[in-house]
Amino acid sequence: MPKFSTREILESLCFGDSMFRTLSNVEPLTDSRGIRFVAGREGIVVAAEVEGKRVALKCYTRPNSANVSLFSLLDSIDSPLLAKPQFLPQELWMGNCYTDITLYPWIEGETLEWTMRYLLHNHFRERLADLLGEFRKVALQLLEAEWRHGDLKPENIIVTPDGSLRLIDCDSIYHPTLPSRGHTGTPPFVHRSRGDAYDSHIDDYSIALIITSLAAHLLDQTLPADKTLITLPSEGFYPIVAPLFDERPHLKALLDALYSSDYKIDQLHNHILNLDV
Amino acid sequence: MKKLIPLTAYIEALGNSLQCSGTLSHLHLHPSQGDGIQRVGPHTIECDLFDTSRKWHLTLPTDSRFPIDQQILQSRVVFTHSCSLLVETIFEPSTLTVYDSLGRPHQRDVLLEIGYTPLDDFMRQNCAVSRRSIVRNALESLHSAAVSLTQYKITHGALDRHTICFDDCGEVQLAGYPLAPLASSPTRDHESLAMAALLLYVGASDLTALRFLSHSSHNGDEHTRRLRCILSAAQHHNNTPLANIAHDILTRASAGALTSSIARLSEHPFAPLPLLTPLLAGERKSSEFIFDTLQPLPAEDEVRVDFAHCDEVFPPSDTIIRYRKSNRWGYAYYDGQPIRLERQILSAHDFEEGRAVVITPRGYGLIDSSGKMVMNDVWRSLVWYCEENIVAAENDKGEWHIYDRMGHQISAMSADWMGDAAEGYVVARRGDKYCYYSINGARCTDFIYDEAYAFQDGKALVCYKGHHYYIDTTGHQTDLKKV
Amino acid sequence: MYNSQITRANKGAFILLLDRSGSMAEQTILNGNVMTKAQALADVVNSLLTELINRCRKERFIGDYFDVAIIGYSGDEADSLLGSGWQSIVDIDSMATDITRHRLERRLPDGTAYATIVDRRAWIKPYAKGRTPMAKALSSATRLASSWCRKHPLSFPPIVINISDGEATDSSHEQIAQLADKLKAISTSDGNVLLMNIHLSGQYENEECSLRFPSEREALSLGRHAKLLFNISSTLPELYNQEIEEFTGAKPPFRAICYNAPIDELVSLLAIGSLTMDRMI
Repeated sequence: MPKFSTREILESLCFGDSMFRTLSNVEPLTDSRGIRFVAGREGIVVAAEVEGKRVALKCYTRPNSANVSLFSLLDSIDSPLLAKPQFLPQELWMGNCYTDITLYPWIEGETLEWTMRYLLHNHFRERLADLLGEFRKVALQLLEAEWRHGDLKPENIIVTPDGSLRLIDCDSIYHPTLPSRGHTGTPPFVHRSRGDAYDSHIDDYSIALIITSLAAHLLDQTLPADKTLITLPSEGFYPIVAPLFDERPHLKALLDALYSSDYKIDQLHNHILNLDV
Repeated sequence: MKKLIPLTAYIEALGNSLQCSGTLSHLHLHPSQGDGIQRVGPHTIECDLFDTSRKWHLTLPTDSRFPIDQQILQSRVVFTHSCSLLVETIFEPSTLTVYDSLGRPHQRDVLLEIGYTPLDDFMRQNCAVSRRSIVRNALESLHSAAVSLTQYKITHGALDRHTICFDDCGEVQLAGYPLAPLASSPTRDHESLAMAALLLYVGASDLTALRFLSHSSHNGDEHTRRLRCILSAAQHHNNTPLANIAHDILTRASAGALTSSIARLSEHPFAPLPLLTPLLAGERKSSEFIFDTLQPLPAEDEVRVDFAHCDEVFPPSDTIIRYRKSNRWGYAYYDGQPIRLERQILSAHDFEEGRAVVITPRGYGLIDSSGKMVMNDVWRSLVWYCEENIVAAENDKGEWHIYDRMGHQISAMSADWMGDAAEGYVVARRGDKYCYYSINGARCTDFIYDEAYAFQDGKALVCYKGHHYYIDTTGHQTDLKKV
Repeated sequence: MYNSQITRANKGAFILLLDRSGSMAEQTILNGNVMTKAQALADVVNSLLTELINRCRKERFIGDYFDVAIIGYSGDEADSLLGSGWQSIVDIDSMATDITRHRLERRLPDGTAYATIVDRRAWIKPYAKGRTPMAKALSSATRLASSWCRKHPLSFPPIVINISDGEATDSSHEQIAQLADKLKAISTSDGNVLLMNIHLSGQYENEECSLRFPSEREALSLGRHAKLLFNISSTLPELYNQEIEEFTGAKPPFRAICYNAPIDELVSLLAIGSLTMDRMI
């Protein structure tokens, strides 16, 4: 598949559903800038309505590893965490060839990133605690499942209006039956030693990162509110955060795991299960 | 012998109808002529007179008689009436009365010829205003004259710039026949006709050279020098007919050879001679450019230019190298790969911002870096202003316009000259007045300035009614101080 | 080296040096449309700016991931075309710009044709006049790169992309080489400034003479001007290898120069040059 620019994709969408092979009644949503979309590493996610139903269309700007087998597997996974996408290969006409798109059901809500910023900025401590609780549930469900997300980061986690969390953008998903597709996650949510490892530990690091960050902010509200992932090693807050976890060995273990040389976190499920916040 | 009759007496006589009789009594001096005397020779005085319809050329002797046997004079005068090549002459004896300083009357014979335009005036009038068809006609007529002289065994012997004349259509008329010297070589006449043809051709081909040639060279050395300059320039610019005629005149070729040379020249297209002016002005040595034969470019130059064997190689400009081999110019890249040109060029300028001015046998042109003619080589003059991305060019009617780099005409109204483009404006001249055009083709001021110079830092120096001052780009004065 | 990710804390930077000399008024064909090289360059650069903004677009804001400076050089001057000096991508997005309407046509495989009108923003306007003061442009780039690197010592170093169709007219080759060396000597902790040269072809030049990211060996066959551009261009780090291999079919190492590049390739070349967009997180 050739590479496309975001402009080429957006201009194709301007033609409406005439450029779609199977979809009809496609109407991209617009805002003051034009078509409403968010850019990611592999493509853009466009807010649209298809036959009156709101969806998120992921249009790829570069060759991707999405394929039919991946999405049939996703279809077979029964988990409330996942917004199950519909993969539409060779769907959108770009002028000289078709490109794949993935249609995600629209999940109302905000990203975890945005939510954390909002709660931190407004000092909503209780809701932050709820958020930590919800993420803990997600982490446990994930660790108990056969599959892993593969690109777990605050931007791929939606906080719904009722406070529950849903995972989006599953192109990097891990499943024992699926071969590696070369995904390496998104730095800095990936342990430096993970490389192109493809196993059930690929979400360990980001789980530990999010939990310890949420916990740190919860325990010390003087921490800078603009540093959502405050326990990220590159942020340099270890000396400040570590004392907060002195009496909390599970959190301390998770924090130290971020600095270890191994991307696999031993006893991660146990630490999360017995989280001492 | 002391002349008893001063020149002023003749002027007085010509201006006084009481002193004139016969045809002369109907003729008068033109008010704009001043004292009217055209030439004063050792034995004759000449001037132009006018009646209501035409000009006459008067010759009268300063002595009592013309310095030629009267019988011969009269038979020659009769001959002019039967030979269409010769200017019709009227001999009127004793029709002018002049008074000497003692008040004594003297009768003088006069010779009256129909007044045609002598060569110098003809050149100035017709070369300068691009009336090339008339010049072409004149060249053909000169050839016919040369043939007729041979055919009818006519020896004039006094053909020069004054006696080789032309009518309004360019037909040759040879004046001064009755008074021509008796002993003369027929070849001299053909040399004079060939020289006239050469001067006309050069004048029509290259206006800038005209100012060097439109007056006589009063010594043989200067005459020879000019001929050698023309020969060199003609060879350099690959103009074989011109080179041949110059060569024939220099080497005093036979009448037949000279006649043939005139014929070939009269058929040859006019072509600029950029080298000629600097040679005539003494800025270049003609010895630099004399070649025995014209050298074509060797075949290997079609594939790769060997700069080491070029006569001149210039520093690269726009990544392109201009070079000269013998009398051929060309362009190539660093590796010698030549730029294929649509035409054979006689002179080349450096590339600047993707364009270069070239001169071919046909005229000036503008090429792009692929060698393609962006503006075909039909221009009398062409200047590329790369800073302004425009061309100022003169067409064969003598009209100047400005064009964009693709050769599309920008200006709607022409001028007699355009140039000095800078800061978005071009100086233009019509007649003797100047104005400014913008490089979009719009005329920004009227043709009012006596002098006008290029814009610099938003100001241009002009002269209006004798006053020099600066104007800005809106035409308003910025500084009234006298320069 | 050249490992830094592009984040809002450690932004990326581009400096574009655009030739706006008279020769850019030559006609060319871009996407089937006849236009001047200056117009084509303006269109491509405007597309690049749009792409940068789009790639930084988040749910509610434009992420401040890049700083951009664009210098246009012609006549005797090298002037900033986006305000003065550096502009963040956020500021570029909020600039008032001309909006040009373009008619787009698409023909489906079954032959059905569709047309629509799209709006495109234009920060850069076409201009082509005067000579080629490339030395001035390189000097401006040096000043900009130097000031930026002082402020962003940990970031991926700036990428300078010089797009021209001719030789510098304000300096000798030696002077150009010296200026380029001075520019490439500027660095952050992640590496030295990368200088990429894109030389645009004329309308009729032989495409066989085009070279894209050549090796040292290929450079031996280059003419003097091309050799200069080769020598002053940076050797590209590994992160560019895959893209260039796909583009050229050749193997690394690659020099950041494309000589006699047709205008139609400019989009792809600039996409390669701005590859750090893919390093945003």
